[in-house]
Amino acid sequence: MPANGSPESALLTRARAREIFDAAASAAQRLGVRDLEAMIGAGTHALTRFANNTIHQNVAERSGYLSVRALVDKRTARASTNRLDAEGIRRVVEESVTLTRLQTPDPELLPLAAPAGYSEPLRWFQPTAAMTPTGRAEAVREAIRAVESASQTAAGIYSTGESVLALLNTNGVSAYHAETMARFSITAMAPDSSGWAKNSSCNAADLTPLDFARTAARKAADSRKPGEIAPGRYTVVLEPSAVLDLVGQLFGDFSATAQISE
Amino acid sequence: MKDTALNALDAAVRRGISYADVRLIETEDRNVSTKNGKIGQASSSVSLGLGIRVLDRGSWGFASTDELSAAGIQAAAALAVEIARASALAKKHDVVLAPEQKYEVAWTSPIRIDPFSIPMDRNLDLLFSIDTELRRNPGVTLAEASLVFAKNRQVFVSSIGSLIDQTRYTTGAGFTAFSFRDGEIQKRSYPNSFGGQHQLKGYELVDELRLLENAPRIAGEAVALHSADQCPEGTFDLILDSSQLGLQIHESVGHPIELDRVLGTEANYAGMSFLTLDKLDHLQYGSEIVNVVCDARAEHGPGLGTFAFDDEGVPAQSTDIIRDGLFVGYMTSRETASAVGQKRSNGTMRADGWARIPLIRMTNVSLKPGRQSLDEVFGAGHAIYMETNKSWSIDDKRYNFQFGCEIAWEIRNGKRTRMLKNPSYSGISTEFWNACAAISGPEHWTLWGTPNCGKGQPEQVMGTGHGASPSRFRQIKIGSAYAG
Repeated sequence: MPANGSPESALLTRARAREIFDAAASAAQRLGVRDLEAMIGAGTHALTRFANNTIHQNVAERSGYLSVRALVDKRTARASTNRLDAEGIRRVVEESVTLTRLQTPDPELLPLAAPAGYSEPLRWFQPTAAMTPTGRAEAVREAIRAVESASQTAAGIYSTGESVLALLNTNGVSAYHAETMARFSITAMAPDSSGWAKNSSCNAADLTPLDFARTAARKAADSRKPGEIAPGRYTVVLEPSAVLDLVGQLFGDFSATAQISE
Repeated sequence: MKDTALNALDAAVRRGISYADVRLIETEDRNVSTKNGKIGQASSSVSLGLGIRVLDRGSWGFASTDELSAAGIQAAAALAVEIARASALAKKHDVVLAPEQKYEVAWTSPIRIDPFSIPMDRNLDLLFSIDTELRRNPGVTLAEASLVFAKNRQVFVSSIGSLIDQTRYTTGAGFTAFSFRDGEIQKRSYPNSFGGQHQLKGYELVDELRLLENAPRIAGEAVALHSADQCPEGTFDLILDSSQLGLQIHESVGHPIELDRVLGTEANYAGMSFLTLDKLDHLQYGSEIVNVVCDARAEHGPGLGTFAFDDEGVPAQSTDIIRDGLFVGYMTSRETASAVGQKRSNGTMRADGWARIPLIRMTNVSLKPGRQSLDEVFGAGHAIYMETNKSWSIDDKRYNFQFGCEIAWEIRNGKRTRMLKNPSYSGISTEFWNACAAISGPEHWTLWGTPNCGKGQPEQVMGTGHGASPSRFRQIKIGSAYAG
């Protein structure tokens, strides 16, 4: 695991990830299995939710996991746990090996990945990782005020979080990535219209909730007194976020397995 | 587990809050599937963690963790309180909870066969046998079969003194045959699409479903659809099988009656509801034969929405939603009950795990069986009969919908005549339910499981139950989805 590159998160250090993997690999070896891959993750996620111009839900979660995949004679199976003590690690490896040995060989199954170079983009920002409930609540309060001042009603979310993923295998792969994420979205509602805006970034400093609240309020104001149009075929123009939502629906169809399934 | 939950509750209460509850949950899942003669997925997972919900300064805070050391629990409790106090910075009014009694109860959902006691090789043998039967038909190009088992133990404690220890087992099983020919894909699923049937049962569900003996019929239908006529476009009588009607209930009754949605708290994500408060006890939701309940009690059946207590410690209840066609009830929580004049929550708060806060969720929202025989439902005259959901779409107020089904038949004089492919229908929720002309009796009623209902931010996926029997609807708009 390179010591430079992606910043290290206290949620799951490189050393702790290595410690968990070594325990898993040892457990596999005791079962006569040499090839093992482990994904080890940890994360925090906090989300402040508002509607009717008030915060009505405000949550935070912290979790970690170990997901292991054994390979035995062109067979593989996965088992996962969030119990990262010695007993939990031993049991999840045993489960993966047991499931693997029950399978029939798959000649198309690829071997474990070999070590390779990979880029390590900077996607972890300390102020985002350290965002407090008060910080989110104050930003939400400002956004609500902007919508309220237009005699509209606001609903939306402001979330921040941090996640770490380490991927290690018995071929020597040792990859580590930490990133932060912040998201803000808002709907401004008027009696017969509404406006919506959202943004996300791994750096909360890039988010400007107040600007997005004003955008949503402006859209709601601009779309007052909507008229009916007859059903039929029209040329439509979609804003970028609407296009993204449509394209996002297609992602699952781009996989090679979809082609194989035909 | 009880000691850990009580320690977490104590950690919250000591911080001077006005209410707290803790859910400590241990889950165990097993998924196995096959795909064209190979194992598609063989996985298992275990998870243990807790969520602490507090009410302080009139606002909610919630924090969850899987770090169950004393320090981890203290940190989660402190964070929950900090979050509640931050919430109070942007509040319009104090949260007030409807009163509830304290309960000390242990409950386990009844099962005959522990699904985790079945060896994995027996599960695989069954799935491979189904796979072989499906692909015995040369027109089947893809066969998928799956089994899903889960065990969920939850210890709930609250500052009013409740200690509720619930364990729920769920099982799901089903298969799908796909037939790809000349650029067109047709599929048939059994006993339902999207993973089959799911219930609050043990392995006995798998035995009851008779999966293997239905495989040849389903494979044959998938292939035959290529030669079937296109479902005609027009306004016809529509007959739905009970599984499609279950999803129709889910989308056009279940979601609109979620009171949090009605009150606007889902406005930025899942949407709102056409069932504004003024419609309660006034709206003729359906015809006079339509009766819908929201029932989480074991007496209703082994549904995915069956439990002893909801996730804020309220006992399972049965609530009338539509009585003789009239809209008479919402699903409520301790926070929202007073908005519709209820003195008590009707017990529908559920979370999809220890990491998430409870929301108002469907329990078992079911259409009560009617009095007609199946012959009367199919009746004399013309109709289109549709089976098994293929696609669904409904607007954010749950009013204007369109569904596609896997297969249909034209009905003439009570008999199936020609098979029809790509069937679809559309409508307006209240117009559709007011067009309900016949509902078959309890002998044809099935409590279906919908395992994948999404709601909330962060999104939560919940299992819900929907009982229904085949029913007839007059003059429904049919076939427009594939009309081009």
